[in-house]
Amino acid sequence: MGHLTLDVRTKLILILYASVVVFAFYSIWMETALVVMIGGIQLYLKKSAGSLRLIIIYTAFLLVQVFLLPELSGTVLTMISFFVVSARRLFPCAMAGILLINTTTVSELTAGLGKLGVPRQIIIPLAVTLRYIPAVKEEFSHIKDAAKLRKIKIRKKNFIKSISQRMECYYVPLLVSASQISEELSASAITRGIENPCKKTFLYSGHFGLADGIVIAILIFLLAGIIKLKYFGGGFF
Amino acid sequence: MKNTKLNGKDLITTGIYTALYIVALFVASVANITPFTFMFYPAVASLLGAVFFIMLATKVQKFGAVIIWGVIVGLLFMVLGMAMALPFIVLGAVIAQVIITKTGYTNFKMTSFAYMLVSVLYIGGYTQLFVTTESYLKEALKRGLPQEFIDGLNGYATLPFLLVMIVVSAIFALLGCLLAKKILKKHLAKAGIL
Repeated sequence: MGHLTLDVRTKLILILYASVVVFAFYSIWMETALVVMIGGIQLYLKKSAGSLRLIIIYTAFLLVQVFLLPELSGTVLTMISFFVVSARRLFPCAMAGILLINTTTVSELTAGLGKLGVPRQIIIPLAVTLRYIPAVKEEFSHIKDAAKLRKIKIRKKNFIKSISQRMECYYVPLLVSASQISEELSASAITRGIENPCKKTFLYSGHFGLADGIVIAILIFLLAGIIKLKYFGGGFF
Repeated sequence: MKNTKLNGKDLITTGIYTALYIVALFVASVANITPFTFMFYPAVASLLGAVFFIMLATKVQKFGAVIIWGVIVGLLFMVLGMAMALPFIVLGAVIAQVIITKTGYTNFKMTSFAYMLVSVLYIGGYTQLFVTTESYLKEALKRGLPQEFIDGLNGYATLPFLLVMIVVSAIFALLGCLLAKKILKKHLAKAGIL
């Protein structure tokens, strides 16, 4: 069973589902079910400690909301609850996104999107964007360290000036490295024939399998359950 | 430039600046902590992201780059649960692209004007809050947000406050563009990157 993988399109459906359905028909059961399911898929496809950590954080948020929030009041409540509630709300989407990014290669992603009929003018920038964001984050932490080393920080005195100085410190290295990387990346992509106008073929042409069917069936089941609960009442969940 | 279609290099450059812009959006999301600053999220985001937009507009001097930027950023907002923002951002990006193309890509004033327009249209993401205030707040309450936060939001969901938001967003976007101009002039133009 080691080669049981999900199609890219199923992962995209998961993201869309997490972002649209969860917001349209909100229910805490639904959210938890989705998080558990996506976390399970993550654990199954790629044994990483990251997804386990995410599930634990989610559980902690849930417990905080159920048990701790009714006890608090005032400003503390506003701060904590907004953080907990809004962060928890994003969990299904974020986990589906992480699933997509961690378990698909760029070539699989472009193949899947191409099959859906997305134009290449969108696919290429999207693929570059998704791959480049982690690199930016790394760069960001390097800049932070360097700024600490040079004792550049926001001071109360000359507040505006120190903020604009701080922004300059972040922008300039990012922009310089961005323009360099865009040159290098396009040189390598052109060498590999990105501008060839003919129809591309793919090494991994994804197709729907048993696992995709199961996942989509569960999603439809959840949606049906939530609609039943919402409009016809009844103790389904 | 004779070749007006986007080639591979342009697409990759667009992708990279879009990634930088998205990181700026993540940084700006610190603003979401209190109801008051929550309303000014678009303003903060447009202040931080201005540099990357200007770089994108001046680097890729072809029709379509800004539109692709708008589509990708809009998709991101959709994934983060603000699906209302997608059509507004794409609309803003198309208008901005037309303005920038018509004025020849290097006109800084018009580029910042286009950026201001896009930033103001971000507020479209709050449509739900302003148009269907009641049901939106009820749903937020159901999600588990505390009553005080809801009351705060309710107090801000008025027409005068919408105008304030628009003006503040425009001003912040302009500030971002001015900062961008300063930085680009001081560092990057000298190094020959721009």
